Amino acid sequence: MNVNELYEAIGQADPALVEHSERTVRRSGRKAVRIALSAAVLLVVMSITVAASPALQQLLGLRVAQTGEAGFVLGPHISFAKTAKLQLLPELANTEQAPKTIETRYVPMELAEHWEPEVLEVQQGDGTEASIYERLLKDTETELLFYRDRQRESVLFRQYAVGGRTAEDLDLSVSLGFGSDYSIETLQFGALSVQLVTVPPSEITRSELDPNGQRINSYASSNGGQYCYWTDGSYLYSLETKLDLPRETLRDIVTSLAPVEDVTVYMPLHYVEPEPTQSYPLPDRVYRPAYLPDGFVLASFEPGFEKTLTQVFTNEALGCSILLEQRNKPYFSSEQIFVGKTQDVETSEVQLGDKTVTVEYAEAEGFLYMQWNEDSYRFELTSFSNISPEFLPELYRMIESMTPDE
Amino acid sequence: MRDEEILALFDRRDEQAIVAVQAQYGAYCRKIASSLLPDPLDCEECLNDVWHRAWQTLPHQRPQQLKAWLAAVTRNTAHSRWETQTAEKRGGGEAALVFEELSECVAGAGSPEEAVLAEDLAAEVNRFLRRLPVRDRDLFLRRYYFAESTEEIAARYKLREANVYVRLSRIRNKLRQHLMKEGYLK
Repeated sequence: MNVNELYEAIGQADPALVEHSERTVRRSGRKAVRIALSAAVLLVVMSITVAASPALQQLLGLRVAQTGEAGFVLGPHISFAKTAKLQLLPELANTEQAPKTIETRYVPMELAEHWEPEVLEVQQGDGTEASIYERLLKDTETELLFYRDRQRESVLFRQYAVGGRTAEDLDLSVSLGFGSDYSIETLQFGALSVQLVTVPPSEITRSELDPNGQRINSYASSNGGQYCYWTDGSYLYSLETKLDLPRETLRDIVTSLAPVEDVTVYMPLHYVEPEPTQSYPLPDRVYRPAYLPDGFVLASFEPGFEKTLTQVFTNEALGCSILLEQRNKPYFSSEQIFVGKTQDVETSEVQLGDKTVTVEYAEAEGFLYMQWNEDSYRFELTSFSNISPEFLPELYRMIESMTPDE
Repeated sequence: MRDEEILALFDRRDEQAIVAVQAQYGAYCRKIASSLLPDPLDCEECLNDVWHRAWQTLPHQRPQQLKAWLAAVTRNTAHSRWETQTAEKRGGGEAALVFEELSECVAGAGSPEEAVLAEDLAAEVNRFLRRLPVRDRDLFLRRYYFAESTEEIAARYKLREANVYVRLSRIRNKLRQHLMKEGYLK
């Protein structure tokens, strides 16, 4: 293979993917706010999650970053823009009562860019529509498929691996090898081979959760656990758990996951784009998700493209802010949370010998970005995301020793 | 004019089809061609080839997305011209940078005799693209499909140019790893 062949191959990219890249839409939050918020997210996140609902406290797999000498945050394992990732804490995952994974049709606190909805329609030989398959791409390793079969009026889920991996390779558990009574169907979507398992209604247990009466459906998974799924009428949720997951824990999880049905109801009907230096007036109706801790008040608000709603809540006593960004699309909703210090940490300056180094965080990836001027040269240094604090003195020493190479 | 109407003109061999497609997609195709061919004259000739190709082909083909079809044809035509020019030492511009960057991904490939089936490779690249996070995929396509400059990409997605560089570098590395894993590279 040579570079021309690779170039030609790229030229045969799926037109839908190419078309997507034509869009320039990016979240419309004001840049200054975004940078300020995303720059210090991990610093205060533990104090925020303490106040969150018990289920989310357990489920938020956040790690505390360490503060470097220059007053900024280093060592992110999760990049700054992806702070609140729904993930099991390792120590929790090892306990008996821990759910093995949570998969939801509505994916709270997951970075929207990593979930792409795709609706695959399969037609029968006579041309009538038989089924709709909704696929969510999670990351480079896994995909989550939601399967709705209109004819059988059943709703089932499958998570499957791509790239020749097997389910056992994945950290998220997969229900493979159901009992022989279950029907297994293999479908081919281009290069993807999808195996669907249909569970007969007789295998599904239906129950109601107190006190809200939410109906939960469950069936046994092959690895001794159970697969629960439920709907609020608009969204599907699923959760694979141990069989002995306490009902209280399940209820906490179920009640804490609630999508915003339509963010537009929180937007003024007719709003006028404010001047760049001005803010949008605060709306009368405020969306406050249940997990938002007490003491945070709405400080700014901004409607955006594609039904995106960006809100900043601040808690002056704690000295921090939470930025919520909701986005609603026909098959997809997302909610991102950024937690940050209210202080403006967009840039800071560090004196290194005779150099004054401006330090700031790159907007999207959590890169540490440094720049300084010397001898009529402009130096820039962009770090990768996993700099450890121990490396900071060495980094400074390197910067001090840098000179232009004539 | 809608795509269906433009395609209908091509079907009827109505010369207004060329006028319509130029009006609808001329600027778009010019942008793609000019990324690879900075010389306006080259770009113009490339576009003429594209319209000619459309005139010859479209009555027999029914692309699902006319815009995507034109993008692919323009890209291929511009690339062929650029290759010819490179052989004549007249090349350069963004295309040279794009190829230089992409060559990182194929370093270590087998000898040219070890032919790779183009359609297999294209399918593999598509698989790779589908697994990328959406933003990374967009960045990759803007750079290596449309040959946009990193400055343009940074402006499009409101990123720093340095950030675009770093992300593209990571994606290229991912692509290289992917191609190695799939046996295209040693």
